Amino acid sequence: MHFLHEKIRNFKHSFDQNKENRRHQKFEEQAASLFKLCTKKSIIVLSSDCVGGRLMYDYRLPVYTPTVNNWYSDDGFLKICENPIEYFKMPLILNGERDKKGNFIGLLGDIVCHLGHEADPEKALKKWNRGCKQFFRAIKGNYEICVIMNDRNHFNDSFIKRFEALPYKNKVLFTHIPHPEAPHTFYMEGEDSLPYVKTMTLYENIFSTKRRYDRFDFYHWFYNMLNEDI
Amino acid sequence: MERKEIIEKLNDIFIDVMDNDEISIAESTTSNDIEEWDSLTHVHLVVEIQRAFGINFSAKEMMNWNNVGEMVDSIIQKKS
Repeated sequence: MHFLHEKIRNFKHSFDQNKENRRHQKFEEQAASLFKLCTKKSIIVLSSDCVGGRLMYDYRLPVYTPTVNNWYSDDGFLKICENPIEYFKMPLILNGERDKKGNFIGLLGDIVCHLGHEADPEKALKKWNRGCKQFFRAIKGNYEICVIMNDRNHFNDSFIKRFEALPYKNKVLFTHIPHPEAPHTFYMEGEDSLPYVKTMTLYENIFSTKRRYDRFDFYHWFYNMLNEDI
Repeated sequence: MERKEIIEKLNDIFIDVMDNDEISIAESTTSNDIEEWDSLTHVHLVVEIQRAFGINFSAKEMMNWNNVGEMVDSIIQKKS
């Protein structure tokens, strides 16, 4: 029985790896064209969950933010976006606590941060601090802040107004129901019956190399940002 | 610019990008030797190298280096 489990696990691992490789072959050309532009401008991605980190990896863009690979309540994330300079100056306090998924929890002023993909709290804190320094370095030069959010984490409709009011041209909010009144929302079709969008980083289906966030044309989004004012 | 000078300049870039003052690179240094050197910081590193040296690498080039020495070879080649 153990042997069978091991075999299934190995098969799944190589299947996933193969799919990821095929996905990256498709991204190769687009990543190369963005990479040519990214010495001239720094794109700072504030993302409410792992989508930001995945995109940076897909398109080989440098990371200038501590938010990468972490997640927050939607209210907390909006507070960061409303005032990133103030929040990134604050110390992140870790007391060894973990959330239900095992991520370390940090307190940034009044915001609870879930620090993903890091097994060691010291390393998680170092990564956060490094991201803050990169943010402050980036905003000394030619930069553009963009925001990627979804309605998964204790979202309510009043947040749409706050999101639309954020002082950034480039922002996208993925929602499970359409919000035609809000121009920066992106409706994830077919999820109306759910309370919020499904995990954005999942593949569309078992055989697809497309992740759910690929429904939005991030390549041209980044491309246009990098080309503006150059 | 000599190899030694390039490595010194690279070392400063590594320290900034990785935010680790204790980094001291050599020709043989690889990503296994520096904890912070992962796929995300690598891209950042290359962008800063391009800015500092005024050169451009292709996406393919930056994925093919095996150690700092090969990075230096590429920089010398681009600068000549």
